[in-house]
Amino acid sequence: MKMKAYMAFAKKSFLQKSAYRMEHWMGILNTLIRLVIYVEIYRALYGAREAVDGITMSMVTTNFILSLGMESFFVVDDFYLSYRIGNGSIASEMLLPVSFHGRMLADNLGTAAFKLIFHFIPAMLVAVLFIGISAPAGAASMGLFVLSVLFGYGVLWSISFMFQMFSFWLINVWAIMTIKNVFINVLSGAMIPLWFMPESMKNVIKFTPFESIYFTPVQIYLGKITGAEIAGGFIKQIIWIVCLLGIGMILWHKGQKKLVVQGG
Amino acid sequence: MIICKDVNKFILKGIELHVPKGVTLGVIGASGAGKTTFLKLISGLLSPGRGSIYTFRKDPVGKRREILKDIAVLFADIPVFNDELSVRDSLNEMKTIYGIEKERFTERTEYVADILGFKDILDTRVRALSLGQKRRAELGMCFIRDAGLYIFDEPCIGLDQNAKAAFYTLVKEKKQEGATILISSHDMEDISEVAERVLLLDDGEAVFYGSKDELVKKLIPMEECSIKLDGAIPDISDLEVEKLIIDNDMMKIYYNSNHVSSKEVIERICAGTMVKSLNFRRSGLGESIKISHFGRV
Repeated sequence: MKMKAYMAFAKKSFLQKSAYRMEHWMGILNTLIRLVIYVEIYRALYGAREAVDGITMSMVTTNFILSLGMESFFVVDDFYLSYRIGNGSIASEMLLPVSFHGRMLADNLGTAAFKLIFHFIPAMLVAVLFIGISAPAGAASMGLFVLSVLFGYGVLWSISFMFQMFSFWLINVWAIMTIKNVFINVLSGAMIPLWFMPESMKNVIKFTPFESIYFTPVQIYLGKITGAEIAGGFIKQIIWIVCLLGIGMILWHKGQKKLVVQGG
Repeated sequence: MIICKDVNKFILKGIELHVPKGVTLGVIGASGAGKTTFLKLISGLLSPGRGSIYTFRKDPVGKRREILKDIAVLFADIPVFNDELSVRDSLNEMKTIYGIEKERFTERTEYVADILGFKDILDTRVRALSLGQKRRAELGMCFIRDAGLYIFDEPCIGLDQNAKAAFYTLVKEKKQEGATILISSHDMEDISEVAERVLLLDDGEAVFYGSKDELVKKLIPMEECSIKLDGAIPDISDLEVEKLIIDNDMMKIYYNSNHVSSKEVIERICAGTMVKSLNFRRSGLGESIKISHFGRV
């Protein structure tokens, strides 16, 4: 029954999303505009050069197309919990015989599925036709890329999940969410390909979950990492998901305890 | 069904009671007496500061997930609906969450929406509803489900007389099916029709817990005598009255007829002044409680 309930939540958010057509078209336009801006900036920086430190312009373009493409359907609602704590409906949620996190994930996945079909695919078609993208390193790379994308979404969702738990103690989580999103944008490779980061910075990023979101899948697609490095990438993604969800769950139980002891 | 052992939380002090299965309990008290806190403790939304609570013989906080499927709850201060969804969408969501069979769900929705009068707003977005409409739909959401325990916190707020009557009908039906029902209100009249047991809270203390009949015996007979005077206000200071209200030429006397007889009252009034009219009536349960426990009407 429970799985059926979560499927129904996902379906509902999928259908709800389809009601906002204008928002949907503007979203596609936003992805394409950002893509063109990023690509043009790097084209200007590259000038007549074929490659910089072994990174070709085509690889940079592919990085942006894939990263922004993933970003277009990697849906997380950073304010899902804080909204419910703010209006008191968290109590209603606590009175339902379904998992709050499961419901949150199902809602997000429903929207993500909608965006994958109606945002990612059209935006990718336009990007591939008019900007161009490198082919995947091979069929296996493509399969591993898809798997890595799923884990990448898992990492992004887990980061948001953990940060959302601060809603139990903060009146407004907007500030910490903004900081979190700046880190994700800069350190995930979606804005600046991580190949161009200085070595010292790369060594720091290695120990954060951010590169696991977009950059690991892009590296696999392009064949920049192989064999043991791919396995290492997956292990890192899984470890981050487990750690972030674990911390998030500890905070969730502490937050829930606060609610039942203090009454809100 | 529900056991409270020396429960303390916020304003509540030393609540000790046992509500058997199938009982309809009215929780009454003035605003701030601890009614909502009591109901939140039962439903597992709050944990007791001291003492222990068992709902369905389980700790309602620790085993919340296990008991929730069998509890239908409506609190006055907790939003139930998503404002962006229609009432029907919210009901459908509930159907999925609780795994209600389609035929049963359709039949119950038809019946409950009809009796509570929200059939015509089923497809309206919740944010467009008035307080009364929303409340009727929220009550409907509880009654569509089959639960073993129903908890209603101030359910009559925003309801007109027809909706109140419909609510009482639905409560009686659920009671006949064997459900245990807890209803809180600041007004005894709201729940006297359906509650067979009463928990009277005053400043967090259970000043009475027992059957309604027992409460009636304890409080009643509280009589009310309304007199329209045609002369000076008579001196009745030596009569044992519970409450005296004088408004121009109108005089209202509340007295316990176990202590003072109506004959004594008439004789004393008529001996002291001229009277245009006299009217006697037995006070309602709500008025009696207010006079006896809170010293006001």
